[in-house]
Amino acid sequence: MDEQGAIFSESWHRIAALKVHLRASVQVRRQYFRGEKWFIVHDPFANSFLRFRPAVWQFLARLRPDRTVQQAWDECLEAAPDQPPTQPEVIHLLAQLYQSNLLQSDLPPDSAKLLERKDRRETQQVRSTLSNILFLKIPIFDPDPFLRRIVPSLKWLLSPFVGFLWIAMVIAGIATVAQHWPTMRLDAADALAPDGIAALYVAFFITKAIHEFGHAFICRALGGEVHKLGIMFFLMSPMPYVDATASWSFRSRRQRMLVGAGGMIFELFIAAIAAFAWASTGPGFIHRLAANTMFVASVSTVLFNINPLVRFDGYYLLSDWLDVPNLAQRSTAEVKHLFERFICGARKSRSAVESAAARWGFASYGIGSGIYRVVISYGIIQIIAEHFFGAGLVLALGFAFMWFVLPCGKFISYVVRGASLSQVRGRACAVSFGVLAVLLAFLGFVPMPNRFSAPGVVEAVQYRQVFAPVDGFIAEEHIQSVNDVAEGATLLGMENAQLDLEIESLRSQRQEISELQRTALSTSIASTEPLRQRMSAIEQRLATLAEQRATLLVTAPISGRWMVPHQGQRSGHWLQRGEPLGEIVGPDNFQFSAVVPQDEAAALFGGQMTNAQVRIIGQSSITIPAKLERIVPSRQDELPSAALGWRSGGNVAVSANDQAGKRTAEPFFKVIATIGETDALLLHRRTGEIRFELPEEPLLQQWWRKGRQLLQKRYRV
Amino acid sequence: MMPAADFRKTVTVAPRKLPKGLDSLVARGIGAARRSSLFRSRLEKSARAAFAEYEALENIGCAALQTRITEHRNAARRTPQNRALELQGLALASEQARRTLGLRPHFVQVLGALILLDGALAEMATGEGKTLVVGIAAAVAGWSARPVHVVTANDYLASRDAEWLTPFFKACGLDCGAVIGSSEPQERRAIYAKEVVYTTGKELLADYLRDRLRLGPMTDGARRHLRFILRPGQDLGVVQRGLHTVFVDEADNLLIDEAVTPLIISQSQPNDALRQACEAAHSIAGKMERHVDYRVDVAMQSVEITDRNRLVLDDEAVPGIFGPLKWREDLLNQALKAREFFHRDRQYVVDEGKLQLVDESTGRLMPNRSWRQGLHQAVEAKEGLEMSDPTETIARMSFQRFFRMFQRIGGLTGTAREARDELWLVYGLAVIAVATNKPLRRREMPDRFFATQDEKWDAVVLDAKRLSDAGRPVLIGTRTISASEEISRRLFAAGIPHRVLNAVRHHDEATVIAEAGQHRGITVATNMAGRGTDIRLSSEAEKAGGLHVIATERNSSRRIDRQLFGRAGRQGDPGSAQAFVALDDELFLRHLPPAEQRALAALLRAKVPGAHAILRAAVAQAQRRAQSRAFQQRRSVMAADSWMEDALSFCGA
Repeated sequence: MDEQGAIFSESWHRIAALKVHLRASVQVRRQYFRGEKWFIVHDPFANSFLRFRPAVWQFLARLRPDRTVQQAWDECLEAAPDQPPTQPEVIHLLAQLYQSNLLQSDLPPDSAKLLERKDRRETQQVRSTLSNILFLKIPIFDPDPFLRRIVPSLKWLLSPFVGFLWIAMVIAGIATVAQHWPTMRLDAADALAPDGIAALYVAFFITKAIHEFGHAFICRALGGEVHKLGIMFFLMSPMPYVDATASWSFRSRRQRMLVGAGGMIFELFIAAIAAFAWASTGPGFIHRLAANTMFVASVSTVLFNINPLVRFDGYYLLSDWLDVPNLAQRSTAEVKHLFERFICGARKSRSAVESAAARWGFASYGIGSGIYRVVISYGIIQIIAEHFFGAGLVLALGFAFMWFVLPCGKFISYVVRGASLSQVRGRACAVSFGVLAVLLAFLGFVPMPNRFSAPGVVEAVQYRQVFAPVDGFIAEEHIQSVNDVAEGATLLGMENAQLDLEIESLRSQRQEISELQRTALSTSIASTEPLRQRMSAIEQRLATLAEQRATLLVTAPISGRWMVPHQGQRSGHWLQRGEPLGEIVGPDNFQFSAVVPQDEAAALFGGQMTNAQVRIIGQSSITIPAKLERIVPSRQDELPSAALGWRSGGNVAVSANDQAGKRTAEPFFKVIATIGETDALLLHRRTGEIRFELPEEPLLQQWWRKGRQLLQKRYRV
Repeated sequence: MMPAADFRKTVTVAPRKLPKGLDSLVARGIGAARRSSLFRSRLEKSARAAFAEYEALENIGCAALQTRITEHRNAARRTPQNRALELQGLALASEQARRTLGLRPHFVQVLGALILLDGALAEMATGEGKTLVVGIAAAVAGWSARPVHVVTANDYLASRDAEWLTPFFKACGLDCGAVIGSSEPQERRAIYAKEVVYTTGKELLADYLRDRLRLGPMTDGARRHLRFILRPGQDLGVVQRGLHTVFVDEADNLLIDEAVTPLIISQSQPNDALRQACEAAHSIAGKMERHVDYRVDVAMQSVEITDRNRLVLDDEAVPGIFGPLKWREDLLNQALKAREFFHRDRQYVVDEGKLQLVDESTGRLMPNRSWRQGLHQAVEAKEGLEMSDPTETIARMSFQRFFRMFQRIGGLTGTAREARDELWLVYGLAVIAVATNKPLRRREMPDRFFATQDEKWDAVVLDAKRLSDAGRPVLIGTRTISASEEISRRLFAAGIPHRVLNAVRHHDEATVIAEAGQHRGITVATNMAGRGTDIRLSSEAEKAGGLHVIATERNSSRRIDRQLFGRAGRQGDPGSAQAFVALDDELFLRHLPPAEQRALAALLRAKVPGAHAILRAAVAQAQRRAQSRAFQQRRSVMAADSWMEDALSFCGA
């Protein structure tokens, strides 16, 4: 017989004659949540908390060493007949207190059970450590004595004056950053560059240490004990943590919030100082560290600390601010209730929340945090699988099982077996599995557009590079860049004073020789021959130089469009012979040379798909139709343009020891597509992206293939 | 008494936790292995050895046999359980059984006894002489001087078996007795002191709990020991002498069907407030209308008050502590449940102005039992009886828990197949099927289906008349007392002589059973005549074709159906059985969705060919559902039990 809502319990006899009471060490405080009175029972030894409604507390308070549970209950009935706890409720209550070691009884304790409980608690601890391995916490020492010592001398930190100072500092810091915003952005990008990770981590650790000190300090200053300080392995990277949960028993909501915000308060202060340091130093170690600190403080604050959807500071802040303890559990309960009541039609399901507005709040929080959790978990799994080779795959599979498969299994067992759905089992199963089936059918059978994109560059099919024919300064540019030129037209004029001088000197020599020749005709006929030879050498040289000089006027070798790599005033620049001056690009014929990773290329080799679209950076609003021309049938490792590689800001990983930044870390296939008619301004060497439309395929099939490709790429399986 | 012997009185095995998740898969695997033919053939080999030894004993003198028994007994006392000794014991006990009872134990019976001793469950077809199997096993176990309890399905069987086997046990040098519901406490103590005790599960558990209550903190052996030293000679008034070996006859009945509800020891305590509140709730409930003010869920056996205003509006003086809305709702709920789900002559009978509860699976009365606080009073209010004092639970334990506390448990039944996983996982009993001694000659005829109860009853009367005219004895089995009274009324109207056996008319049970096998006899019985009842055929009846069993309803479990059918064709006798099923039987009403019920009715009316197969499938489906529901219920009883054990371990046992 179910005992839900029943007054009497058939197990009452087991506790009726007991004399139990709360342990003497237990502390009880009154707290108000949303104007409602609650009693918080705090066990300082285990630092555990239990929360009771006044009606329940009425009963608990009556438990005394000289009274049986039955007597206490009877008294309760007489004293407050409006909402006395029912017998099953009392049993649950005592059991809960007993499990938390808060109960003292006149009976000798069952030591076997005590040990069993200890074992179970230890196994549970191991299990929760394992399941939270990504957030593994290792306590190192007890900071309480230290805090006790320093807090009195630092108590002034909590004064209003310091508060104003803090506000001023933070505002000034923000202003500083705003002033240097463009530079700041560049530095932020630097912080995320692969070679900056170590420095970033150092900043991260320092910032978080200060953050945690903030919690600990404020908690201690307000009277809470802080007994645990240690290292938490957050996604495998160690960072400090402190246990400031003692603040939960603070009676004042503002104090609780202050402890919760303490970390961020200290962190933002440090960030402000870092902003000044960053602004007032030139590039160097301090500058870099300051930039990283700012970056960490702002990003981690937004992503984790202040975000209430995950169980970090923001969650507790929100929970205290709204005055709703156990926000997450209650939201989950509310979502569950909504599911049972409205989706499964269980009329008996009752919401624990009274006001409609609060119900909306709970429901949206529950759903929001659920979605956020899924997204974050997915992200974490992906990161692990991508970056920790070998063991990473196992870990990722483990987490995928823990975070996705297990909850799904639990949900199924709840739908199929859960007691609260027993009366609406049919509908619950039909709806849940129906939705699941529709979803699976959609994913498994409905073909969806399937496309992939690859970076590449626009290249002209026909183009001629123009080089500096001789050393010289640019004297005059006759034709500006991106203008059409006809063959033979003068592109630019160069000047080379050296050349002119040499010609002048040769001319003088020629004069001298011809004079000498004339004299020799009359005086020594024998020397005419050498002079003639010398003369011809000089003539030859002169001709060469004249030719060179003529080329100082650079003309177009072919008709086309004149393109100059570096726009802007070039006249007066010194160029060495052979340096590129620019290119003449055939007017219409452009092709797109794309860098396709090996695993994507497989789809292209099939040959069913020839249509593609190209978008060019800077003109991405225009889609340019393209046609697959050919795939260079061998694996390449030299990019068509350095602009595509990491080193120059592109997306393709390049080998770190190649200075030119063109050698890729992994081989790729070069795919060439011809570009069709377009309004877009096509420029040779302009980077862009090509998108291939593969035949439509159900999503499951697409994901399956992607997964296999990942495995192939990472683990060669 | 020796302090050590006293110490042993409370030594029990701590029930282990049910395996979960992967562990349960492994446990199931082990269970399947224990049931496998490999394991069985090993047992068979041992049994064959014992059987050969027993045949060899046939020609030795009585005195020699006694000597050997004494020798064996001394050895068994001194040594822990071991197979060789058990086999020897089996041979000796079988031979002694042959000499004293005049029955020659078959090989399958020796095998069955060995399975029992081995701590497994022997599945033996009905009528294979299970009583003797248990007797032999009990004698062998009894020789080891460890307490042996034999649990039977009801008081009648317990006293019948004990009485029948007494000469056998006497000859074995053992004492045996039966503890039944009507035994007095002093008497019980004397019987429990005997080597072999026949009793029912309820009595055994109730006495255990009462002993526990008497012992209180003295349950702890060490404490008792100290007390014994400090105040020697003080009697604690405990009746049992400890739990060691138990053999459960009709094991599935006790371990599965009865295990749905835990056993409760209660005492009545005057509580005027509750009485008045129940009366008030009854009068409020009287004004409420089904479907208007409350909704009924037949499948889940629950009611839900839809018009909650009722609770507030009818503010009749609900006294004392029952003022709060929540509590008032609970009382009103019970009043409505009493009205909707508790029917006279089904769940209870009214006897001399008092409620007597009926056990639904055996059809027997359960004297001195009551429902939980409030519900019992609600039913009394409904019947207009004087309200009894509410009872207060003082001890409570589930059968699942109790039977796992024995060091050795063996079981025997005709119908265990359907529940073998549960028997293994919960009790560690591997179900081992034992072949029949003689081939089965019972014909089971296909079910007959009817749209309404009325049509069904008419057909039952006609069929019974036809068969009895042909000279065969007929047993008409019903599920409820009211159904048995109904069929009796109709038979009487048709002028057909018959006898009725049910919880109300049970004084001459033995006579009715004895005459049920007579030529042309018609017997109407509830499930009382199901388990363990041996209906012996007269020679005329046997010639006419043996007993025919008409089941007037399908039970919620296939096993209970098989038990009733098993009354026919015992020990190679001829016989036949058939079930008559109406679409408005409770099985369908409770366990099939209404739409399906309507579809089945349409099918039956249309007389579509192949309808029979569909209806049979529907019966199977309904039984499956009923079983899975019952299983859920048992599981939740167990879960609640172990939760309570863990959570309330601070308050002692």
